[in-house]
Amino acid sequence: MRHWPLLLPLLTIAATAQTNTSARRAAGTVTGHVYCADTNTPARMASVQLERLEDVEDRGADRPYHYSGPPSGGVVQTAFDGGFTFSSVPPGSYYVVVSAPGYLSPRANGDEFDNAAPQPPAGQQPIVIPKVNVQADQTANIDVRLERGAAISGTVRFDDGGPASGVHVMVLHRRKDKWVLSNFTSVIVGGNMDTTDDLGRYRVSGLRDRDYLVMLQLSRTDLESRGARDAGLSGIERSMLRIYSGDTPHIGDAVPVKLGAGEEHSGADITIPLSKFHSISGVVTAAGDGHPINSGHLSIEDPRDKEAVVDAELGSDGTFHLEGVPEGTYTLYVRSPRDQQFQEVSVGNRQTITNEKTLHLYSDLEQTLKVEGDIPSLVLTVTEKSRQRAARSQ
Amino acid sequence: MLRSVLVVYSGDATRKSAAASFTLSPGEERTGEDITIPLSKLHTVSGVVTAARDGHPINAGNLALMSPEDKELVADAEISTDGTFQIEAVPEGSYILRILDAHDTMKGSGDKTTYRYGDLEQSLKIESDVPNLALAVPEMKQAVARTSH
Repeated sequence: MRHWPLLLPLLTIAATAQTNTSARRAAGTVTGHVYCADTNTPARMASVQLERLEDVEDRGADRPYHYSGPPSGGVVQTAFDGGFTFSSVPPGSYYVVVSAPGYLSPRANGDEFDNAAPQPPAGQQPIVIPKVNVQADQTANIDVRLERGAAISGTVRFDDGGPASGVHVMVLHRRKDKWVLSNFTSVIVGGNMDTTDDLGRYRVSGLRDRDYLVMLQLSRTDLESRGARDAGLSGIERSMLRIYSGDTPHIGDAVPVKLGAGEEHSGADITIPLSKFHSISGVVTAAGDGHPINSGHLSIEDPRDKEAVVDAELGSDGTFHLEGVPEGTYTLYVRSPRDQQFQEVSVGNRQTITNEKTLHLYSDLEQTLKVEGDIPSLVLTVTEKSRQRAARSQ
Repeated sequence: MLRSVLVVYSGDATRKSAAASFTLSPGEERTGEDITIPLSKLHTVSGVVTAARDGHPINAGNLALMSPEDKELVADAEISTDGTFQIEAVPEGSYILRILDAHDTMKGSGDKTTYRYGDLEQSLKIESDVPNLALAVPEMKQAVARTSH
């Protein structure tokens, strides 16, 4: 991977040459079979993709050897006998990346390749990705055996006992000192999130043996009419809750689940502590005359990790409404508070644009906020930054 | 590219007429409605399509397998440029095989149709893989097969 800068111009030349002559002439074929190691049966309808070695990108320590973009050799699905064929593959070296639901795949775990990275993270077995060399007018054969991964399952309920359906379920594993998303999937097999069914049940499979956190995400989104008849709808996210295994909204308090190799870990139930989520409403006003501030950004951040728990833009009347704030002590910020003048200017026939003009700028506000219950009328005061008229913006 | 489509009904049936139906009562939680995909009863049908007149391979057209009971399409395929065809994952059973729109095309000049053939319909019993099915398409029923674009 070190010789990236050198290879790049060569590849460009090769690609240009191919389009000028017959593209088919130089192609090769890749065939093979995929088997499930645990049952010794063919892996049927599995996804097989050929990723050109040169296209595997070195993103440094955070996510080494990540492949981005469509697999240039193509994607095929295995037949009922587990067999697959790629015809007309441009010559070159490729990773053969196979994924099937429930089985370990480098693509399903957000992991780095060992082929390129000789030292996998401490305590982890490398996943070896087979490579194939494609030559013009020749057939390369490769068989792949898939190992069954571990799975975690359970039921998500609200704290009044009701099932939580349609909740996004993600699993995270530790990379260095951070928890990162694990359940990425391939081009053909599904998206990268699972949702709970009507009874609140979830199951995430194809996982490597290690510690995981389960993360639930509940978002409530409305589609509102824009007012005019043909203006369409605009989506507004009303609230977004995150809950981790251990029934907690704080990742720092989450309880990891340890999965053994191929373990079926059931009963990992999670309760969403709705009674510990609160709403905060209020208004931002100017210190001098108490008039509402009609523009600015409000956010509530966890002082431990500086992550925003909720945030909102101020309404044109200076008010704000935040939902789904878990109990706790936070730092509240009001950023870029300003008096903004909105002016509708007509441009041509029946068309108007909104001109925005900043009249006064105020200093950012930072204060500690303890949330133990709903806060219905929080009054925040900001002081003017300077007497002079602010320069016209936007 | 769609390689194959297989339809399986409750009762492990590959035909609707052989499917086992069940009744749900209001709010019932019905479990155990398991379905086995009968892989051992799926076969591959392949062969070549030629002109009955002189035996040359036909390089364009469509093949369809239909169930004889309800004329429902079970599987279909296109004839390759060398006259061969392959249909994967065909369940065991009796079929009506039909060749439609068989024609000769001239290579290169935008796949120009040079000659059209009549349709072929015959019954076909599939009990295992059918590897070398030779099919010959007749002349058009009309006195002269007209050349069109």
